[in-house]
Amino acid sequence: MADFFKQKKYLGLALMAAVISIYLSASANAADASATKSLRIAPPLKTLARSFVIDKTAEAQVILRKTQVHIDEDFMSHATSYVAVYINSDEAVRDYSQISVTFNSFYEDIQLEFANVRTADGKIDSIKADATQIQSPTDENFYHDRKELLFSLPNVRKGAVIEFQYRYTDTKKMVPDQWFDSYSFHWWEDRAAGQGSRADAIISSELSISAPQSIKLFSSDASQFSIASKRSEKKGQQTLHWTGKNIAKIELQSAMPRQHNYAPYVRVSTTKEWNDVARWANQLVEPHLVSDAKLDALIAELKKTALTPDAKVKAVYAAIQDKVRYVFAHVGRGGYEPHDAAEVLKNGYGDCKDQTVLAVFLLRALGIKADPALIITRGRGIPDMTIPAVSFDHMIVHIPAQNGLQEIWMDTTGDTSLYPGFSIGIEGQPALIVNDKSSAISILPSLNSSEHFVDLELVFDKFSGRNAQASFTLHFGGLFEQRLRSSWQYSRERDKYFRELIGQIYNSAEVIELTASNADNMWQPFAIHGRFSFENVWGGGDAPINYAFSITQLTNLFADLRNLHKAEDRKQVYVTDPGYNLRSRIVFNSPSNKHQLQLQNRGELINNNYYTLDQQGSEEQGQSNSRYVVTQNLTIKPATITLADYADFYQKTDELLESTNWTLSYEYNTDSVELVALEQKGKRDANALIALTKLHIKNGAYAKALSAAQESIKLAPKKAEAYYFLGLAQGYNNLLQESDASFKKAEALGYEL
Amino acid sequence: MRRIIYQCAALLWLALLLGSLTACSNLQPEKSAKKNHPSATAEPADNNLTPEARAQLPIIEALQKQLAQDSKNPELHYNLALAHLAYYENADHQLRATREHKAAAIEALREVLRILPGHVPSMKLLYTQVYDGIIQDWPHAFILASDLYKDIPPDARSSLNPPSIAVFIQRYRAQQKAGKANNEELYRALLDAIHEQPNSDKAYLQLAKMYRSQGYYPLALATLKLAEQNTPQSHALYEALAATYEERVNNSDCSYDKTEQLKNAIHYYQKAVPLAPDNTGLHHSLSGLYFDNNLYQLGLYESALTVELDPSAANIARHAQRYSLLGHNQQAQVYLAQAKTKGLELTNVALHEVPMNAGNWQLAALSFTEYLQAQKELRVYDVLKAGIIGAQADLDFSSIIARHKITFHSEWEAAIYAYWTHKMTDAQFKQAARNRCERTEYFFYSGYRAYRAGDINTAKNHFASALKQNTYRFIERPLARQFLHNINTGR
Repeated sequence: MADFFKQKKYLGLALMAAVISIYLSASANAADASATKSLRIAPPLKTLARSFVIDKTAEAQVILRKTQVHIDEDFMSHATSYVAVYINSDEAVRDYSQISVTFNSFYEDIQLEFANVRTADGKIDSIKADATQIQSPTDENFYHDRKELLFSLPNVRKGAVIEFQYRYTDTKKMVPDQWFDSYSFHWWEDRAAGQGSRADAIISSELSISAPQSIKLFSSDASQFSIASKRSEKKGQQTLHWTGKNIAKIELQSAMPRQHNYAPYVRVSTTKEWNDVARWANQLVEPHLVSDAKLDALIAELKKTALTPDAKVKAVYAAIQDKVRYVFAHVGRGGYEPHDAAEVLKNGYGDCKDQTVLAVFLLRALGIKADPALIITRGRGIPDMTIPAVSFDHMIVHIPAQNGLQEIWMDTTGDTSLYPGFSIGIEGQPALIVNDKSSAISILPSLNSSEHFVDLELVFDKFSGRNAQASFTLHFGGLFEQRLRSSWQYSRERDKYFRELIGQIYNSAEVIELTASNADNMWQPFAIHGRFSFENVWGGGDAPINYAFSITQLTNLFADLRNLHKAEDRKQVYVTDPGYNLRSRIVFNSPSNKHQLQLQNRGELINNNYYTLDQQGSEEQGQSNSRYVVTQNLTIKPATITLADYADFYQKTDELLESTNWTLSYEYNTDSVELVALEQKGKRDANALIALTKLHIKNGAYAKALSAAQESIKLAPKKAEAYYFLGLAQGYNNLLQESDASFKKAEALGYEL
Repeated sequence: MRRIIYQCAALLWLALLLGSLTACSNLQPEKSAKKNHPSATAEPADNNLTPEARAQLPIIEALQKQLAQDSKNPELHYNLALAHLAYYENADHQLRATREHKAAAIEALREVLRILPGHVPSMKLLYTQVYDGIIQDWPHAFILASDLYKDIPPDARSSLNPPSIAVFIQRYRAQQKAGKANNEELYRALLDAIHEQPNSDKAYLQLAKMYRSQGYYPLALATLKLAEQNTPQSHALYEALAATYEERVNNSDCSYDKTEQLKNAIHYYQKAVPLAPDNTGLHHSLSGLYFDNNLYQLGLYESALTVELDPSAANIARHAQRYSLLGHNQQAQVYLAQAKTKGLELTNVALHEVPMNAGNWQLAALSFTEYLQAQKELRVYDVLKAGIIGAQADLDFSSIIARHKITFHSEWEAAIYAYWTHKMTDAQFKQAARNRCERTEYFFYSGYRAYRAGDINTAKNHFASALKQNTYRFIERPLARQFLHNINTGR
């Protein structure tokens, strides 16, 4: 669930790099890297290859990961990084045969200094001249400054040791007179064929940062990861040094916490004040809050129709959704500087910061206080924010609480998203409000579990021959609304996709009708309606019809509970984040008024640390036939599950998935037939009403029995038997005195008790 | 949809049930979410553990070890459940550890049902645990029991009480404890139980019993007749029908005015007897009803059967009284003597009524003295007896009578007492008598007063009139016959 909303649009801000990677300098001329005379920062490969104990169970071991950074007096950094990896499996051969290092070409330059392979028999093979390139990542529809140095190593085989060293140099400052960066102590290598990343065990990982003593350096605390640190000074230079030994490999798994505390890393900065970053961002934004005639006209138009604060905010949201398409196409601007507000409107497109600048300008023009806000989106997790840095990847609008308005975080970048565009991608994430006074990180609010929901209304309402049909409506909230609306908007084979998707609720049924409502409505949540057709599911006529429904018919579709790691395979803390609700109301209609309910199984009630499943069922009288209505409410609670508790969680999940179905049938019942006949006949026949009274008593329907008995007395006020059954019906309705009187009347009229 | 429906026959509820159990056990909430698996080795030392409970511990341990090797063996799980339940039944239920054994038993049964869905013995055993849970007022127990009850095949279900019977018991106990009666709640539970299990007479019987105890005889009878239509024959049902008819008549003004009702009672006792031929209560009741209908040979036969089945002193004494009522004094004396040898209590009424009916007034007076002295309160008829026996034996019981409170159960009894103590005239007394029963007593006691006053003709006429009322089991009947005989023989 956690990765549903990893939206590429958030890449509107050029980043320092992927959160787990190092930001490197680049050189377009890396092809002759092997020939470069470089200062090697590691011991000879031969020495390194002998310096560690091979772990036969490991696929690969990073023998040494070493980075040396020097910051000059202009706050520009020059860094050299070395990596040596022992390859011990076919998987590692595949993954380490090609190495990629990402960097931001707008701010950095990179150069591969050397790359070698020491084969298992001790031979050294160096990188070939044509095996290095700089390329842009393959993000479709996005044009940005993120690039990667890509090089292939020769003769990587099991038993080999690979090594490479690269150097990167700052070419421009992102924030003048500041420097910041973050470093992982693992080497994160992309797996082949886009299968994620790997971070193998580390024998030794070292980082040193040197800078003039005049520059203050602030760093995050890495001691929780058993990383040793020290600081030294020499000849006006300071050096910060971190060392980690024998660091375990990281196995990334699904549903890990957003917080970056599963791997050792350190953030270093020349400032400890977020205000420095906020002021820098603000001075990038403010000059672009400019208007032109077209923008002035739009403002004038909005002023005419939007009169209240709430209406103004909504009008701005609608205007941007209507007039500015989200497009990222900003090469050579460093990622953080927007276009002019007027230009964005004129172009009719813009990325997140462009849209935000336009929205802020419009809001301010309408008298609403608003600022841009830099966001780290969910896809990037939640880094340690104690040390300031520019690692944001999104910008939205922050509207503080003010007269007539609650605080609003408004994101205009989704195409026709539900107002105010607040999505799971930013929920609970860190934000920096951009103005000169901003001095702290804000955390965006999170929706309650109950606001992330799926509501299914399913009604079995048509019976024809041996077939049946059921209408359905799916209402969505929170992440489900966002996901399904987006899928509806962007699916290439929308109809086929959704029929197959919804069809999973009842595998035996065909979705014969499918429509959506509010797919383009910014103010009402998206919903799907349709109809299932079940063929040859009962005998028709007076045959019984059998129904079943289980909460797993919703969890299979809307929750990822069947693919959990087994307890022995789980290596990471598991989080359910956010919690959510899956609800249903299923109406099982009787195919005729002559069929009677036989409830075979009720759905299980569950309440534990992870799930609450409330289920109720009751029979109701419909217009002509009776029906059984089941309501279910499954709450998947937000939870952080430690490894110690994971087995319990796995078992409870298994119990949930194996919990009992609702099973019931409507069976043709002679009593029902008799009941119907008597009810029809009883309108004019006291004997029929007496028989009806008896039948109701037999069925435990005492109130109905009393009513029928009273009717029988009206038709036959001298009939002794009628008083007898009236007495019985009164007695069973706890009208004891009346019952006694009726029995006496029956006896007086000749009934022998 | 059928293929969807039958994909799973697993049982629901263990998590809830365990929650319920632990809620009963006052465990900490955080522990309640975890299953308890009491093991033999982890059992806390408890010197008070019964030998029977202690004997289960090695069995449990052995089964747990076997299950570690063979976790899908349903028989092992079932036996483990039995061992846990045996421990529970024989240990202190107040201890948390004991209750954990019950929880473990339930979990083991559930495991059996996971492996063998629909395993009837496990379902029944599980149901009985949850049924007990209803009585103990576990939350959700009723829902759980109802669901499980419906899952049990009808044939197997017939030997189990439906869940609403447990609700009835629980609510009844709760009302008793609170000292607040709420019959409606109990009626409702029993009606629900009838609906849950319409082919069992248990709930019908209890419901009719409650209606009967409240005096709603027709409703009780109608309820029992519903049971008669819907449930298999049972002596309990027929006996209840007969007894209700009988009680309804007895609580009316005069049963001898409603012989049809008495015949209904006889009819149902007769239907009950073949189903429970050794039930002495049935024969005793039948005997009395036969006497009421002047079918004295049958009455004596049933009375003799009662003695044959249970030759207790009390039954033999009653048999003696039957003979005494018919005037067979010699046989009555023989049976009374037998009863005495069997240890008949000195306060038994037969000890004075049998000699009284035979005219042996001195002996009657002796026994009556014992009887009077044993009574805490006296009915008005005791006072009348004291007057007659005292007069005939030339003894005065007035000092004993004075030490007792006299109770009256009807206006008629008050009228008799008023007449006996000369506070009501003969004419007033006659006017007060409204039915055969009262007229029997009017004629006898006014005849006796005339007899004592020497007005022989009046006495003779009144005693004869008393006999003509055909109130066959009235004690006044043999007395009237005796005094009439005395008059006719000039004694």
